[in-house]
Amino acid sequence: MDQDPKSTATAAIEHRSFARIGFLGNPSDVYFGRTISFTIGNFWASVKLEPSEHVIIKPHPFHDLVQFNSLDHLLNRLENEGYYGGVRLLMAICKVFRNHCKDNGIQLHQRNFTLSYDTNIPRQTGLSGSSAIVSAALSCLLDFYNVRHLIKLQVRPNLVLNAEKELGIVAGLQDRVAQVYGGLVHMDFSKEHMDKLGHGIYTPMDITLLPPLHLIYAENPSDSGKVHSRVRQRWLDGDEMIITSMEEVGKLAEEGRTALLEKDHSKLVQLMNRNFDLRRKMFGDECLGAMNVEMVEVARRVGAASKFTGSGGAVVVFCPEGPSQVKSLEEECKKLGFILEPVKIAPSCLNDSDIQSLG
Amino acid sequence: ASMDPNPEPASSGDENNNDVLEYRSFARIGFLGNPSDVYFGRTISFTIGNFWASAKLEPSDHLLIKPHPFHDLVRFDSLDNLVCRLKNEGYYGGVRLLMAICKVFRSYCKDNDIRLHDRNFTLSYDTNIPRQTGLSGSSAIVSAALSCLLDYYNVRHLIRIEVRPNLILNAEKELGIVAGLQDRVAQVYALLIFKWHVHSTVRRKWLDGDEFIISSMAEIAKLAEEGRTALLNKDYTKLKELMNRNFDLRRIMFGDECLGAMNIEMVEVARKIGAAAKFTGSGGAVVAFCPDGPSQVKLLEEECKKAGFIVEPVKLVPTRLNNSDLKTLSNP
Repeated sequence: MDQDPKSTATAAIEHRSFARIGFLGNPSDVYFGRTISFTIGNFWASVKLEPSEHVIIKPHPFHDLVQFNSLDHLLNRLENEGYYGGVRLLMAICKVFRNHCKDNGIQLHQRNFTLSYDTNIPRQTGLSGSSAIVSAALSCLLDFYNVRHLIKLQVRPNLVLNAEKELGIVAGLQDRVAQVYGGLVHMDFSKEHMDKLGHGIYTPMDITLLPPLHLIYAENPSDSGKVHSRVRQRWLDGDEMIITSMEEVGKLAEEGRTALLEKDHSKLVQLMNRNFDLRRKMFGDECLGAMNVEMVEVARRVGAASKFTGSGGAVVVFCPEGPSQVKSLEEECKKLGFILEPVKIAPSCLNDSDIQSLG
Repeated sequence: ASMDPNPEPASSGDENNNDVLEYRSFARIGFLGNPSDVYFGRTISFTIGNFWASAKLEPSDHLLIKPHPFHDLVRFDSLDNLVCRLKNEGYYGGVRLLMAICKVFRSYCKDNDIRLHDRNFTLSYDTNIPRQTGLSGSSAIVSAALSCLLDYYNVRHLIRIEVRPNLILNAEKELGIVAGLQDRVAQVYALLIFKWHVHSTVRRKWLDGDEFIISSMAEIAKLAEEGRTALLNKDYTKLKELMNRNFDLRRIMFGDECLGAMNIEMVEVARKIGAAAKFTGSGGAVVAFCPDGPSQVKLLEEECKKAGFIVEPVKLVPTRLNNSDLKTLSNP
């Protein structure tokens, strides 16, 4: 997954960061909760850093929208993908990285570089495409400036999140932790840790503990919730139902850890379903989006467990009954025009230096 | 914001290429009444010849939005230079502005049954309007691009001039650029105009019914009313009073922290030598009026030099409404 970074002055550095699935506990990460997430080998973003005379952030010929077939095509792409490609993500992490080094007395050499990226993570599918680009870019910068050992692992997800915050992207840490660590990770974001350490407690877990899982998503995820969520505001305002529901979501990650260690698959089914049901109760269907809800229900109809991978756009499914159940699900998805794929788990990408900084 | 409602055709370097469309749109100054335009008030604005943006449209196989080598930030001298430019200019150059007006234009034509041919084009832009100076650089780019589209699709006569500022504002709204109409209207009309039309804590307060904010904003709007009379009567003493009052009201409503120390300093440097001064927009540049003439201007120059500010005479740009546009004016 992660190529060994070449440290010679003239060689290019390339890093890959995978899409992630929030397995249990999301979105409680934004609310001092707990989550278990993992990276998937199905989709990834890659960033390349090459030494160059000037600092150049290279737009991607397709993803940084500049070429279209027609005026209507432009209109469609803007409506489906928005205005922004990856360039602003690369610039943001450069800025956040530079400021972090300044603020922490980390000296950087004066050599310049060109950053470019590629990605096959489908947009707007809740698979964390933006943070994948950012975290891959951060990895390149850590190597180019040879400061990997000076910026500890637990802090890197914060840098990734801060870069996205620069651009007004509102999110929690769980995606970024998963992508920085790679593999399966349990995360504890309780207030004590966040206040004291500035980050959560992250514990890598063995990826073989996960049962076979599937991913459902749509080619045109146009229906992503018409109504803006008020959940955060309500949580801040002390709304009882929201607070207790969010706490319960966080607890699911706890129980999920145990269920994984004990390979208790029927418990996992229960927890995954409860996770989505709580989300549905808190956010409401109008906010979640009819198509997204349909993706969850199509799986439930064949008796599988299902929940969002993130905030909508894709769904992670567990078919406890095995291949025959998967086949039924395939047929149902086909009828509705949804794509169904087996999830490939991407293992941890920590190298020796990173593991050392784990302490 | 004020935009050039009728950008002028720029002389293209390549005189032989009749297919190339190029329009220039000037920066604008909010003379009196801003920011009451966001609050159903009145404003007087004008475009200035000092700075402009231009957009160029050429037929091409695919539809291409060409990033500007400098303004669409992709190239920097160093990592520190990148951080600095991001801090000063933000993340976004002109490309998203061009895309937004294409989208808004296309949607408007669809919604109003205006048929368009299916030939593609390449759209590019240039600008010398200083960024973040409240001189309406964004809307200048958008308005120039709109003008190119109107000609390329030959629909200028189908989209009334009064409507064009709204298209420009809508394009910027797409991108979350919060502004009023006054910049865009001035740019579209390219003359000193008086127009009725439909941030932050002040906006929230106004929406919540804050007495003080509502009455202050109403008073600002009245300044434009009185300003119109003062201009017609060439009552320059009155104008000075109105300009100063405009800024003073803004200052009370928004507060110094919001306005920015340097911006306030620019106003005060002018006031110190007896000139009238107020923001051109929401900060970044100041319009000054020296009623005492050239000797006062000289004093202003000296004070600005000391403070490290640039002072330039404003070059006014006359209207360029052509016959087609004038016709649409008279048919509401």
